[in-house]
Amino acid sequence: MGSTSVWGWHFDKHIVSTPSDFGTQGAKPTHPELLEDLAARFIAHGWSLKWLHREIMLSATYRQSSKPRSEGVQSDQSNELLWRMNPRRVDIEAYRDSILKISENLDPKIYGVSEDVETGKRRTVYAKLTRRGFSDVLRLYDVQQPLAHIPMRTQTINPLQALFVMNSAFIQDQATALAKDGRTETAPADKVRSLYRRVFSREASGKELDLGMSYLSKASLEQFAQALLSTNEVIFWP
Amino acid sequence: MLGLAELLSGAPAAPHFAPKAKHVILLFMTGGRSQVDLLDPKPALAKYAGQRPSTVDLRTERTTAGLLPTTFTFKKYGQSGIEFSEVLPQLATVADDLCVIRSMFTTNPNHEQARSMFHQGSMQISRPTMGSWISYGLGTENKELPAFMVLSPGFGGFVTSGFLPAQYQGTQLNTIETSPDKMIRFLRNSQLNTEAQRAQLDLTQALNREHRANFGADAFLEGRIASMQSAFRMQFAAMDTLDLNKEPQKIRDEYGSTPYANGCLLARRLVESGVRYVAVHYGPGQP
Repeated sequence: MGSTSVWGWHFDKHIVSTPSDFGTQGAKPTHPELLEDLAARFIAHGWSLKWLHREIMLSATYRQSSKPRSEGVQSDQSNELLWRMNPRRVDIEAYRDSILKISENLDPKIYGVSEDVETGKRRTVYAKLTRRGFSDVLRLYDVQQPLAHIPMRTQTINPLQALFVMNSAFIQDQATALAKDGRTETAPADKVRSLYRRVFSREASGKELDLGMSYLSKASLEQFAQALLSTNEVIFWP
Repeated sequence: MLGLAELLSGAPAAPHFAPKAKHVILLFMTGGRSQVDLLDPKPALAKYAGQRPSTVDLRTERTTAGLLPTTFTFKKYGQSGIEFSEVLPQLATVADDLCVIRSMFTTNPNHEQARSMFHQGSMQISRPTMGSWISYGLGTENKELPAFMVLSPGFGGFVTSGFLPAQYQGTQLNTIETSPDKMIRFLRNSQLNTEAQRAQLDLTQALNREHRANFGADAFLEGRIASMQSAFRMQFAAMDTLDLNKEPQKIRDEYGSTPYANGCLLARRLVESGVRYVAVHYGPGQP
């Protein structure tokens, strides 16, 4: 079970899709020999999780690109055979942290009491979760009841998450903070370039520059920053 | 832009088969009375009352007595002769409009697994939900609202589309709340008017299409583009459809004022506006 959990964490898909039920009512492993082999060597290495992570991450399978290839899509669309890395949605913890980091609002303080994720600025591992409930934002992004046994989180994508991105004060605040940085630039093209470096850690393409400049002719830099924070690229882990 | 607009609309493509069913409302009453007391008389239970059949393995978590028959009496109703217990006198009057299925069972005695079995046809929580299959098979009639909606007090309904594309996933509303913008968090934009918001979304989606062209076709990227589009339209449609104040007071009194009653009334409003599948949950989780 340790092997399938660590594997699932790296590949976004477990070898056994019911990772805490290996009994007759659980799913069959997709790669039984792999599971046997990893489990046996995991034990032989003294149950070292560090060894297990390293073994998986140094494999050729792990180091594949996630880009779709037509022959792969044709013969195995759901990537059962792992002909590519599984692209996936970033989980809410990493997503919220990265947005706070981009806007330079992230409070890196460690230890101490938990706080609300909609108003707080600390990392999402400090999110307040109680028996009675927790933030809607966490719920929208698939955090489940802390009281229940949840062997894995199913990542979903739905319009309610999009409403959070479009309308929440949290995202609007980060966009406002992000736009402050671009104000020191004077030319619109420089503003666009500066925000691209901040949000995506890369340069804007020619097409993206054009789109950005044309948008800035009729909208504010805050609105532009929010549009960038709303893109797939921010929440997609290729 | 026409083909693209269609693609981005979040609407599932044309149905695979011409649908006979138009809509589905699922009322899932978690923690309800046993079927043996309602719709499923089991005469053998009375015959063997108190006994423990030796050929059947009846291991239970706590010590239990023998077989327990219902204490209610059953009668046949309507032309179909469906049997109802005395507990359901109202439902019995519409017997001929109902189909009662008595053949469902699970191989696990726990609530949670039974719930998965019911909604996903399997005890494995990774399978698509019934509403996902139905919206996948029948498409949608309303482009402003998701085809598959789940109404639940708090969050605990089944919504996953499993291995089906992300756009067939259920959208969950909280029926503890009664005003649309509370039922759906972040429904209204406090900063931009519709036109400015539209322009902002157009930019985001143009960038998303650039990104997708560079990466390649991907279910997640498609699904999120569709969900942004759907969310934009939902802001306006939801304010109207989910507003129970638009119902006459007489109707609201007939339904009652509990979260479940609100869910039932909303389910009706949603299917009337073209939503394909609405699941109404009585409670947020297992009893």
